[in-house]
Amino acid sequence: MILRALVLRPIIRERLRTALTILGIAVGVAVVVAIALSNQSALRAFRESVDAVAGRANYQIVSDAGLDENLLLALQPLWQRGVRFAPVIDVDCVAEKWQTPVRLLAVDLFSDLHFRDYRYAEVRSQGLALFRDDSAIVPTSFAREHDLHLGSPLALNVGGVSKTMIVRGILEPHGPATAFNGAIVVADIAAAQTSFGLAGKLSRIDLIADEGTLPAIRKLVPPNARLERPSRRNERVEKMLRAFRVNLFALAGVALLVGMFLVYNTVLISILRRRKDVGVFKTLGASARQIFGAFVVEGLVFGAVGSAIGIVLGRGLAFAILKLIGRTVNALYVTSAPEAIALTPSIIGAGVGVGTVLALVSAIQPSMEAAGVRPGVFLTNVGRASARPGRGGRAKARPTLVALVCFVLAAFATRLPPVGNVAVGGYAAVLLVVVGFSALAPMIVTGVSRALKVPFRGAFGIVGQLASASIPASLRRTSIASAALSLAIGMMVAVALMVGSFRETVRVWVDQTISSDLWLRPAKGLSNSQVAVFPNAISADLAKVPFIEAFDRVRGRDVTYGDAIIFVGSADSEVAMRHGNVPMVTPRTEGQALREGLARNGVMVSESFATKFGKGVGDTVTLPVARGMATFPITGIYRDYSNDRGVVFMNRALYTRLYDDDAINTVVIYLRPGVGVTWARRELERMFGPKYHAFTVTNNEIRTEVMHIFDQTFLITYALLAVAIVVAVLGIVNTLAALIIERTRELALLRILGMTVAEVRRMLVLESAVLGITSTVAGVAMGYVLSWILINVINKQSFGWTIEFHTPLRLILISLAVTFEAALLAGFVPSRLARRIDLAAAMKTE
Amino acid sequence: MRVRLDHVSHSYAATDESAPVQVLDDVSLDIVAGDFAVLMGASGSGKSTLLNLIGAVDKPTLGRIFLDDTETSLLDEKRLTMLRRTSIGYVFQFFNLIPTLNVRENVGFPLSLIGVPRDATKQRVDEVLDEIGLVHRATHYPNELSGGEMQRVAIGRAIVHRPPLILADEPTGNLDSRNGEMILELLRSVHEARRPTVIMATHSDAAAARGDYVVRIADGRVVQ
Repeated sequence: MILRALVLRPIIRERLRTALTILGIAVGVAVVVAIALSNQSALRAFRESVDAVAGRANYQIVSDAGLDENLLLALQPLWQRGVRFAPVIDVDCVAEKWQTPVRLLAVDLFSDLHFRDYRYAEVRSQGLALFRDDSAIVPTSFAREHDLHLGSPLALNVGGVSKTMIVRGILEPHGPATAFNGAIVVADIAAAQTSFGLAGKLSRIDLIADEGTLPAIRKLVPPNARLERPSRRNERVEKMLRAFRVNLFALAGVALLVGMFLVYNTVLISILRRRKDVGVFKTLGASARQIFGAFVVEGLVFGAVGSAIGIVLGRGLAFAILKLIGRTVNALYVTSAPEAIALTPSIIGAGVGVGTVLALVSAIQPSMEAAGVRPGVFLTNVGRASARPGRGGRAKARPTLVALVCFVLAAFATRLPPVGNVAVGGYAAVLLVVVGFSALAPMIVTGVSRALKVPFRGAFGIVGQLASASIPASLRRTSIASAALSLAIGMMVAVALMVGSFRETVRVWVDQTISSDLWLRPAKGLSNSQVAVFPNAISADLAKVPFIEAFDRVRGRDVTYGDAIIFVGSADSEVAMRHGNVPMVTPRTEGQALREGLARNGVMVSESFATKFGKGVGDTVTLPVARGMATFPITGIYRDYSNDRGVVFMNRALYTRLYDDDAINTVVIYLRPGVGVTWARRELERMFGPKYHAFTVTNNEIRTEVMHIFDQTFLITYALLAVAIVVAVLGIVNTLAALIIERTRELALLRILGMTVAEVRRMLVLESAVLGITSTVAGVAMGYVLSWILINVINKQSFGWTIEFHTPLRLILISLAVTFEAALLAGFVPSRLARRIDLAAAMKTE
Repeated sequence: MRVRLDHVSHSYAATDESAPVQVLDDVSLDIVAGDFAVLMGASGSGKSTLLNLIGAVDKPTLGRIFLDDTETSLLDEKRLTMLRRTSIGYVFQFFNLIPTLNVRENVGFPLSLIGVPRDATKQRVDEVLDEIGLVHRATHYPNELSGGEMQRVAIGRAIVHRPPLILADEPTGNLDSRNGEMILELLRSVHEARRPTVIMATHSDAAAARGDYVVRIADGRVVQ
């Protein structure tokens, strides 16, 4: 009965309040679910591809620099002990006709049946057709998408070597044919080695081996290779993406935190409004526990319904987010074609759990307050507790103390080291700063409202004065709404400052770094530049071009370093010394580092690498190379914002020798003085286009592209913050609507005393403006503190970059204007309720 | 201000909590400008509703109401607001001060709405504060005042803009006898000083004795 009277019926009757609260929670949960779903989908696509390609192998011998196939001979004696092994070439290549990336899986089609299932939909079976060195087998989906049939030609480019294969088999969607969304070509290993210049080389050897044979296998593994489970690669990729994912979740958490404020506020408001009823119930014998339980149930109902709606919304949102995340993951981390979104029980559970538990936690404190209401309160004149809050020194001191403790702890947390690449201390500091500012919210609301009294009175007369006075008069409710909006604004300002600073830093870096005139690239339209390469033969052709002053050949690859995947890059150091301009951390000039590198076969490392692995100039770094392991002295640390995994950079000659790899990803071209870029571009494309599928990119285009990728990467950040703002504005609508209903009598009085409906509405909108201004003041202050933590702690620990502080004034002003207007609009909605007040009825009840 | 009611009936529509109620039934009344009229009747007799109708807070279900020559039942909401703002002063049983304004601001509130310049407002509010004896409490807020003081502020607010009509609904109903006496004295002196029309609803004989005459109401009808 108590539950029905105090909670369930009001929930149904007060539809606006109920709807706004549920919507707030739903939006928060939706964001979390959407991010979890899209993260899971992006990673699952990758994981499933790795699993499908690995088949039944439980171990692999892998080397980033490639394996010598003679290792198979060494493994041969273990066959009798039950060890099964299969040689594999598993590389990215380009389908030339469509210039799209494809995975080439070359295996021994006979022995591979132990490892993978191939179900042929169609096959050309005369003789040993599949084993011919130009035979390719493609999945049905790939054949359909590209209109391929048995006998169709399929030109592939592997590491700069081009060869036209013939489709002689089409696979049903099963096993390896499902990997990489079907963008995979299977070939016989001997044929692939012959066709693509990979004679004697393997990507890895797949094994089916029991634990007892592992020591024997381990003895055969060359020093530059690893014996590991296929899932290790997934784990490394997951680790590589961890900081990125944690960042996304942290942002989603902001929306949820704002949602929590909303629940807290709603339950508190409903308790304040039903205080009289609670008094009656307690007078009639209801226990404190029953009252507490009833209001906790209210929080629970909001949480459960909001979560359920949030999960549905989240699924829809995930499609949009997946697109953005997919692009970023592809551009910065690994090639992965995300699959469809799948709501798994764990995600549904997490969504319901997060929404419901947080709603419940938010409801506890106000419910305790309800339980503490004394019986008989209904007999007294229930008005506002105090029209002039904030006079009590003690009441003020406690939140100030809480805030102070939070700020001190936050300062301490920023000094903590990262845990597994995740800036735990940084996130804790953010949370503590948020809690600190939230504790100060009542004080800020009171202070700002007082400061606004005179200007508001001057500008809007008595209406303005009443508006500025009424916000602190309902401090319990308004300070929570203000804290929620402050939090959203604070995070928005912080992220705007962080992204703006980062953008400016990257812009300066790009301007300084990209000093060449043109870039020559293979395969237009590929997001992952490692897939497509030029053969080294292009060097000789380029040397003959009279208008080129110098060219620098860039090449690199992913290499496993400990538990991480880093990037080993190379370029012509001599050219870089003469023409390049790489911003350095240590030493001051790149020339010194490069010269020393050339002299000592040393390397330069990126700032991210140095930060993540604690390396400095004078230290050494040991990497797997084609034949064993090699140790390099570090001669310089340079700034590099293109990659947060860490880059080790070496001279091209050294790289080519150590990795047996002379292919080229990009040729950086410096033109002779006086040569027009447009003309040179046209000439180069005429000379190299048909032969190498080459196209040129100008200096400006590269800069634009870098900034475009940058903006795209942070698009999701802004989207998530916008959601947080929407939730916070819902909070203001909710609070003001509740205040209006609660103040019906007061508003009626003002109307009786001669205020017009328009004046009452103006007053309510001005109240909303006071909340907006208060939240903006607190939010901007909080934003600056948070941005410092984001830039100097979280970014530094997660990605290892140095970011110069820069205030994107325009962006911040526009964002604040939009937020403030949203807060004003939030006042317009409930102010319409003022028109409906029945003056006589409102005054009749006392 | 002359107040005339011509066959006025009023009923409240049904709500979630109650059935429709007829509170006034064919009331006709003529109060001459400058009178101090007292409406007397038991709780629920319709006194407050009658004051609401006269005060342009509510419109009658049937009949016509005139303030001087203006038929208020024909006015739109905006004109009714202007009428309340400029021509009527209200004193309520529960004071109904604005909690966020101090004594001076509460008293000056009607002048602020009318748009009287600041200096003139200050001067007029000072006069009224002196008249109601609360100069020393000018910067205090309602929650810092006693019941009697709050009601004096309410009277100050009701007279500050010199309205020709003052409506008082049980002004002593929430006060002890000494404070009640003081409030009645104040109302009487205000009436004698400027001769506005005063209509006071009460069920106290002592209070009723302060008026020029008594209009008795029972079950929504004028009985005497």
